[in-house]
Formats: sequence, structure tokens, C-alpha cells
Amino acid sequence: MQWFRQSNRFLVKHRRRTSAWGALLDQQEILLVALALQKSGAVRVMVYERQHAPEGLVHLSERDDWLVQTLRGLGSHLSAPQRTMALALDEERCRRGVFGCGGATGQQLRAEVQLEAASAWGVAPDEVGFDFHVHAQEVHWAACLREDAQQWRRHARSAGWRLPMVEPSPQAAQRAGLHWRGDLGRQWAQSPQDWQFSRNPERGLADVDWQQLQSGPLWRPLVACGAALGVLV
Amino acid sequence: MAAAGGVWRRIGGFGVRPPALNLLRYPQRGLALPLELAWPLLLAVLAGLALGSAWVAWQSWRLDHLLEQRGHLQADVQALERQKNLAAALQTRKQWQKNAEVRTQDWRARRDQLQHLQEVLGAQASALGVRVARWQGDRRQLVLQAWLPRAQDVPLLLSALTAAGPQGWTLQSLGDAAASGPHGGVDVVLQASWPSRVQDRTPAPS
Repeated sequence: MQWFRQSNRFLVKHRRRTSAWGALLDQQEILLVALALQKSGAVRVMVYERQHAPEGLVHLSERDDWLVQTLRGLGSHLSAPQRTMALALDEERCRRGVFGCGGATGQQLRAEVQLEAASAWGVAPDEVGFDFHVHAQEVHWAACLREDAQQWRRHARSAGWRLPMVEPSPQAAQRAGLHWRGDLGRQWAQSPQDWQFSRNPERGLADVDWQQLQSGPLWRPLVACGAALGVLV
Repeated sequence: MAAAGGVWRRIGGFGVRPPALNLLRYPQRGLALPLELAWPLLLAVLAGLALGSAWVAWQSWRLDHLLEQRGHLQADVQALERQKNLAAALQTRKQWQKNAEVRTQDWRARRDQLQHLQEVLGAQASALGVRVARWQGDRRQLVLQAWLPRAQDVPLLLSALTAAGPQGWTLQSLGDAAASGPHGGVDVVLQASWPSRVQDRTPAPS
């Protein structure tokens, strides 16, 4: 019956998630959002929390400990599959760029992106964590410091969480904006706890004034929601 | 990852969703394998698995064969041990039988001698008036306590007894019987050692 257990494990692993967590990490605080998929197909905000680091924490190790303790406390009542989180990074922690691919493909393109990212960060090529996609002969890339990414992953793992995704905050915000259910222009009229999203995008990129949205106060909750949506949809 | 790229339908038509950027994706852990090397590597792995399986199967067969041989050898060793034990038991039994035969012959000879002594004593009782008071024997010696009417007949009794058997009789004590009874005479105690007899031989333990 070994094959049955393995196939069952495979099915369980690939079963569609019904809840996910998203986080926006800042220097002194972490914004956490939990989204749940309803039977109706809508995605609702179940948890919206803003955790501030205590004032006295100066050293990085102390803030790391605080982050681990915070995550551990949040996930204490959750089952292991539910402790899955996506992390969105702000502009300070994530660099992005675009360049023409010039016909390069595969490994060569990957190497070019890595060099470009390392150059943007001013570090050695093996010290960046990055990703890219090609769209209309243009390479869109984003990168963070690899040590940071590994550290967040270690923190999440030590607190009992899975961290399968780290993405730039604009990408998360775009996802949330496209999946936003209702009139995005009246977003301010609702508190984040009442936000709803759909599993499929409701609008196109051109339908949203992203600059206005980014300058508004609800950008950061939108980023956290978008990160969670990235795991959920 | 759930947030992969794809085509999605929205109001007014279809849109293209680019794949989501995940900063954990690159650099990938371990060696990135070029696609053109995948098939040769897969074939090499399969060949390695086949060779490994064949080697394991051969080793398993060889192990089974050796185990079977060991079983046969152990059975042979056990049979030899049984034969050896049986031979030792037979040897012991033969020795005991031989000892028993020797002992039987010995006791038969003693019985014959005693019977002959009895006859001699009977004859001496008629001739010399010997009365046997006590007649005792064990594995080592014979003791005869008797009464004679005349003391001068003691040497005759000794010589008659000595002549009757292989053992030599000696006089141990001579006493006046007048003090103990009204008839007079003498009380004598004679002793004779059995001749060298067959010693008990116990078989050596095997």
C-alpha cells in the first residue's frame, strides 16, 4: 500500500489551499494578513494585524528573535499546512529593473539577470536572490540580497512556517488590485478587514491608477493581501 | 507556485498574466542541469540502477548458495558428531560387558573355591572333629573361626585348607576352649587372603 500512501500524500500536497498568509516586512514592524477562500469563491480577509517591534530592540539579532517569536505566536493555533506565508518586500529591500533581452535565452539570460541584479545591489553575483520573466522582448527582473532571503526563510522555518514566496511589493499590490472585488476607487471606504477579492482578476493593469494607489494609505495592506493571494490563487 | 502566469478571462476579453516573480527562485540550489544532458543522464542512471540491481541479485544468489552450503556442512558435522558419540558409547558398552564377564568369571571361581572349601571343612569335621563357629568372607579375605577337640590338629586343618585352594591359610589366634565350655579343645581363628583377582576396570570417559 506504499503507492497508495504516496499518491495520497501527493494529492494532499497539491490540494488547493483555502487559506494563506501574506506579510509585508518593514524595519520596525510587520504587517500580516490572512486570507481565506470562501465556498462562494470569494476571498475574504480573516486576520489583519500590524505587529510593532518593541522600542528597545537595537541589534538585528534582537529584532530577529522578536520576528520569530511573533510568527510562532501567530501560528501556534494553526495546523502545519496552514502555516504558509508569502513575504512582500518594499523598495528598500528589493531592486527591480528592465532590459532588452537581445535574443538571449536560458542560462545565458539567467546569468545576465544575475549580473544586472548584482550590479544594482553592488555585491557579488552569488549574493543576490532574483527572478525574472520576459515580456515583449524585455526582461523584467527583481532581486534582493540572498543572505536576507535565506535569513527570512530560516526565521520562518524556526517559527514553524513555510515561506515559499518572496516577491516585490508592487507585484503583490498589483495582484491585489487586479483581484479586488468591487470599485477599487472606493477602497478607502472600507477597512482592510472587510476587503474581498476574487480568485480571478477583475480588471486589467491599465484600469488602475497605480501611482495614486501607491501614494495612498492603503497601499501597504494591499501589498500584504496581494502576497497572501499569491499563495492562494 | 500558485501565482504562475497564464491567460485569464476578464470582462471585455482575455488578458495575459505574467508569471509572478519569486526571489527565492534563483539562484537554484545545486547544479542546474541542461536539458540536452537530461536524457543521457537519465539513461546513465537507469543503466546504473540496472547494473546495481543485477549486482545485488547476484550477491543475493551467491549468499543464498553459500548459506545452503553452510547448511549442508553443518548437517555433515552434526552427523559426524553423532557417529563419534555412537562409537564412543559402543566402546563404553563393550568395556562394561568385558568387565562384567571378567567379574562373573571371578565370582564363579570364588564360588567354586568356597564350595570346595566347604567340602574340605566337611571332610575335616568328620576326620578331626572340627566345628565351624563362624565363617566370614569379604572381597579381600576369608576368616574362619572354629573349634577343634585337639590343639595338635590345627596344623592338619591348616594344611588341608591350604591344599584345597589357591590361597594360603594362616593362624590368627589360638585359644583354650576349656574356659568357655565343658568339652575342652581349642578355638582357632584362621585367615586366608583371596588370590589376586581381576581388578575392576572402569572405562575411561570418552
